[in-house]
Amino acid sequence: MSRLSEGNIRLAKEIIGRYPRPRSAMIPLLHMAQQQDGYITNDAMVHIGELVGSTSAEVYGTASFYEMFKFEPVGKYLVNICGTLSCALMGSEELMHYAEHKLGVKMGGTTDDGMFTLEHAECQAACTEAPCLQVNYRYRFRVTAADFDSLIDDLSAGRLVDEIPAHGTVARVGQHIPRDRGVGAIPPESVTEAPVWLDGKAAL
Amino acid sequence: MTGTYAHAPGFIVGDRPKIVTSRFEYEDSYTLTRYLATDGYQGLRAALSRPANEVHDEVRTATVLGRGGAGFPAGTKWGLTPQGVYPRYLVVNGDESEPGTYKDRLLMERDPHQLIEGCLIACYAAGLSQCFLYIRGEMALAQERVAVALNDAYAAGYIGKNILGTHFSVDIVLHWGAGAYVVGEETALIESLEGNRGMPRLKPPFFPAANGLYGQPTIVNNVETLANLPWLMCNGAEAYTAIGTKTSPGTRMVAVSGHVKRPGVYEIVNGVTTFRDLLYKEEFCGGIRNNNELKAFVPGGGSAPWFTPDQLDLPFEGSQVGAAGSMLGSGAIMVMDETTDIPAAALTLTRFYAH
Ligand SMILES: Cc1cc2nc3c(=O)[nH]c(=O)nc-3n(C[C@H](O)[C@H](O)[C@H](O)COP(=O)(O)O)c2cc1C
Ligand code: FES
Repeated sequence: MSRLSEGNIRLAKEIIGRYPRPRSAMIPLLHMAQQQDGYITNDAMVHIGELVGSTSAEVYGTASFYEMFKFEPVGKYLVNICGTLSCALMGSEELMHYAEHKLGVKMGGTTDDGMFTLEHAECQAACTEAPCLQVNYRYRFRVTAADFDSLIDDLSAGRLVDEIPAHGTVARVGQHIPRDRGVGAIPPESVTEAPVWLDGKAAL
Repeated sequence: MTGTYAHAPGFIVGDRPKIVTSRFEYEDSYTLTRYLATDGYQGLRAALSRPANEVHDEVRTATVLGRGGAGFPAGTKWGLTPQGVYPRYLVVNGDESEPGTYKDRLLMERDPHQLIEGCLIACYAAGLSQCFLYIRGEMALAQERVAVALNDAYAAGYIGKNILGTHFSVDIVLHWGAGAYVVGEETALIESLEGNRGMPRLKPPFFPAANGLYGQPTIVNNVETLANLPWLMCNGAEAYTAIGTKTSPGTRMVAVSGHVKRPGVYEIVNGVTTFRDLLYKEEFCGGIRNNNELKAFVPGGGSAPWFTPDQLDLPFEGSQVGAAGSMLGSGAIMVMDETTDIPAAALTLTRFYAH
């Protein structure tokens, strides 16, 4: 386990090509590895390092700074409950206690069947819909205990697979720059002059 | 349980001016079809019909204040890049993670083309050669909506080589984070975009306009700041400054959360709307829940000092709020009623910043 697959290597090269420096692709490639394996493996970090020209220690140095990257398996569904002020004012603490009780794990824990990991999260930019949570980064708003029950039931029964992919996949659609339309990366050393459209004339 | 969207009623109530939320009422507001049917990419056309320096002047005249927290005018910031140093880059700050702040996510989810058009106008006006649009890692839907919008806009000739058949060419690269609050600070954002740990650089010498991404002049602008530009280009600086006040023209998006009857994201008039209007008027939040007494409120994001009911009549105007001891910051208002345990609430935020 687990270097990037052939398909992912192709995509990785496309992504690297968009940036003036390959290293800028590091976070996108870490997401790709996490999507492939569900978490970030050592082999993936070595491979990403090879692709962007860094050591695996440098890749780990970057990756370990970011909370979304996991270095060991987590549940299929990562349930992040917001505990920041607006949610706290609207009962997030009670919701967290309820969730711990319902799933039988503490915050940070994973259920024995590997289905759910529970985490305390900070502001999710949905403060008017408090208390809120995300399941694999998909929102649920103004969540009551009953809502939480049905969410867990639906996820357990596989009723939400169309809406919520397994942990690792964040966006299901990515950018594709058509070859004939893209300008390509503009590294610092490639340009010294002002862009052509700064010629004092209207472009259109 | 509510679905994928926050249907906050504030979006479409009343006939207040709408600069950035004008399409929010449409179910398909995020599609290119809807965008083109509602004046989409007309601001870009208007901009490209003038020399770049005139477009820059228009933005300067309009005094478009930065909406990311510091309130620095965008036109002035663009002018701070050193003469003759190229390439220059644009980094779009879509990392929205200041407690209580919640507007950029909606702008990206509901009107991604408006943001894209704003990026293009900025790149044209300030001579920026490549644009990186950095979206917070946890915002899956925003990432998907912006990705589709970018793909559609490339296919339609609005981004990339020879935009609208002109010699203006620029790529917009979608980039996304992986969870870390401090990355919203602009020098940390640049570090993260370079593939590093997202820690702020000590500035100076790392003043991004002079020494930013890859050591080049870099403009960092907030999502909402850029989303103002299409309207501005279509309607002109005079129309823009006719809304609001001289020092705070235009509108801004604010998110009101906590103990009000109708929490929501509202586009208010800069410098004019007061906190009392916002918290109590029927067209906005409609009062404190259960008609309780107001105890305290946060006027501008988690790091802003708190206000008490004595400050309710202040308008959304940076210098007046500043003189009263706080800041407008990122447009997040968090409301606490008489039942609130204030020390416990304060502790919640302290834990956030320690985190
Ligand atoms: C700790 C910290 C966090 C910040 N977070 C954000 C953020 O999430 N989004 C944002 O646009 N600006 C944020 N800022 C402000 C940025 O540093 C920067 O001023 C802003 O993106 C500039 O855009 P504007 O001029 O268009 O407002 C933050 C600043 C600090 C100090
Ligand atoms: S405080 Fe919970 S989403 Fe902002």
